[in-house]
Amino acid sequence: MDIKKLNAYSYEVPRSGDMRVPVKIFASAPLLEKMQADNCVQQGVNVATSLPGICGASLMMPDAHQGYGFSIGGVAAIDCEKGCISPGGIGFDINCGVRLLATSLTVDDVRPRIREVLDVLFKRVPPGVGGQSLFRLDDAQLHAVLRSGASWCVDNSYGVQGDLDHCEEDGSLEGLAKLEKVSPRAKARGRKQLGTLGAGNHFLEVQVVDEIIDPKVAAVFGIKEKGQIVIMIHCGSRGLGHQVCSDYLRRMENTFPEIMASLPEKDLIYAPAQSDLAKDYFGAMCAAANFAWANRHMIGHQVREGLRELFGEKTEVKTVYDVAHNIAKLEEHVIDGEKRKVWVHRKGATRAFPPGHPAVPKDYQKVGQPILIPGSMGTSSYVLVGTEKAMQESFGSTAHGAGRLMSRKQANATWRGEDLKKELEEKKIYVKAASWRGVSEEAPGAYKDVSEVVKVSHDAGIGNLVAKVVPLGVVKG
Amino acid sequence: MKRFEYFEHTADTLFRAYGKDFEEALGNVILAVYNVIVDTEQVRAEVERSFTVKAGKQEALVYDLVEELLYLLDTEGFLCHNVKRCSFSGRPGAWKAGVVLVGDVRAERYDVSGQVKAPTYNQMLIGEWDGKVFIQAVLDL
Repeated sequence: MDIKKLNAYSYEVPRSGDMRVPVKIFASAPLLEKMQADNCVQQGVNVATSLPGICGASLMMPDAHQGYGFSIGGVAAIDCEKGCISPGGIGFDINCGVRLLATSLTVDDVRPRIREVLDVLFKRVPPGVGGQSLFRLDDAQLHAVLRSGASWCVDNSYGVQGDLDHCEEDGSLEGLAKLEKVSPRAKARGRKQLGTLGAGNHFLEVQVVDEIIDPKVAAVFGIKEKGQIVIMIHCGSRGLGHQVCSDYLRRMENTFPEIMASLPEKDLIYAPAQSDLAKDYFGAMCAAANFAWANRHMIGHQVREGLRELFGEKTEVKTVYDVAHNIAKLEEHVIDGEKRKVWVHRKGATRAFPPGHPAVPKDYQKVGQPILIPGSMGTSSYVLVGTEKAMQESFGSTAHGAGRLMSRKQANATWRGEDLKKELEEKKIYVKAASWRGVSEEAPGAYKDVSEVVKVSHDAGIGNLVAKVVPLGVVKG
Repeated sequence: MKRFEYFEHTADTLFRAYGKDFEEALGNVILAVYNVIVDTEQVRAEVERSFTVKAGKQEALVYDLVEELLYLLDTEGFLCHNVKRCSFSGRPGAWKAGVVLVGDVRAERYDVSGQVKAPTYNQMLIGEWDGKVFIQAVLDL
């Protein structure tokens, strides 16, 4: 494959053959080498070739790795009138994302009591496969969550308005969400899962601010000083979102067999923009996204209550921001000098909007949207800020995490969960997990170096570094 | 004969299930999926769950069967110990599988780890090799 170097942090697969657009890869030489070790660049080419209405370029973020259909870390802006929408470009875990809470606690408050903190969080936020919600929803409540997202939580005295103000889309795609397009099976899967973490790479981490890179922006985000305790939550729409994606993949397959037959990977199936199925899927996806925002909001609420139980009612726990990194959003972008409405598919990619953008919260208008990039368990995570250059270069997008380097099978064969726990404890990082296997699968060594990923984002100007945080304790599924 | 095995895949899991025929391989798909989640040998055989899936293509039948397993897990916490029955019948355009599983609905009893989010069509292959039928696919984790 012909991959041309554009500069120190970006490469291009030029348009050739049936490709509708080129592929642009944001990567350093070492990250590109890792990408080439799996099939992800070819998946970027498949997206560039197969999806009608794709604009500009098929993009790959610095953490890209092999997925199914789209690569993880893939971004595609697709014309919402003449193009299509592809569930595989969003992923099964619709609105998987990250929420960061800033607290008034310091490392000196928390480190001596970290095991106690993890015990409380573990109890309040059920992790793991089959972890069931402490909040049971009847039909009317579930429908209200699907319609209103995190707003439903605040209306019912879970959390505060400030949580919504500092959330992508204010935590709700009300008006776009069509709950009647979510199947009864999807609703049944989500009914017992509001406020739960799930398993896999999902986590709830107690972190400490280790380095403030941009003090001015960090202060606006409420990240005040080195040693401050923050909490990071990573999870999504649970079984409800998985089922929505599956339902519509199968419906598109049955409705558009000729499209299915033409694709290099079946998971790239799409619905043409003008079809009823495209509209139904977008409505159902928005409802699932609402469920995910409500899920992270409820977890945030439980964390706040748990920390106040331990450290007193005056403990401040404020939402810094909440980002989706598996979603398609209807956005306006300047493409070839012309403003166009597109469905920006971000599959394992974070929105990175600049200062002054109307979608950025009022409190952050002068600096830009916070970007939250978790590292692997036991390593650092980063807060970045959106930029104007991201609007020009990546449809307002950047990376979403470290990106896997090693399969779960290989990780399980390389590490034992119990040993890993001990190793981390020697570094004063405590893990409380629903499963040992869950710990070994998520070993830090199974991931790329997140520092290299965020450096590329920063150097490419598609998300600028603000602060580095490191873990004190991890709750895992 | 090996019933199933897993292969390297960076982010997810690629499984391959084997059988003397499609029906037996399909039953081993069930064990391959559940063993990502839990060691099925450890799961107690306390309750039975049965379901039927129908699809026009065999690939779609595999996809829907895996999805049914995840539905049982999310809605009831059901974990499989063994496949009591897995029958396969039909013709092109109208395939059917009838499944009876034995297992437990108390997931909290076990070291349950791998979260399978969904089946995918990624690298899905159904074929014959060395006198055996095999079914392979990537699971989204």
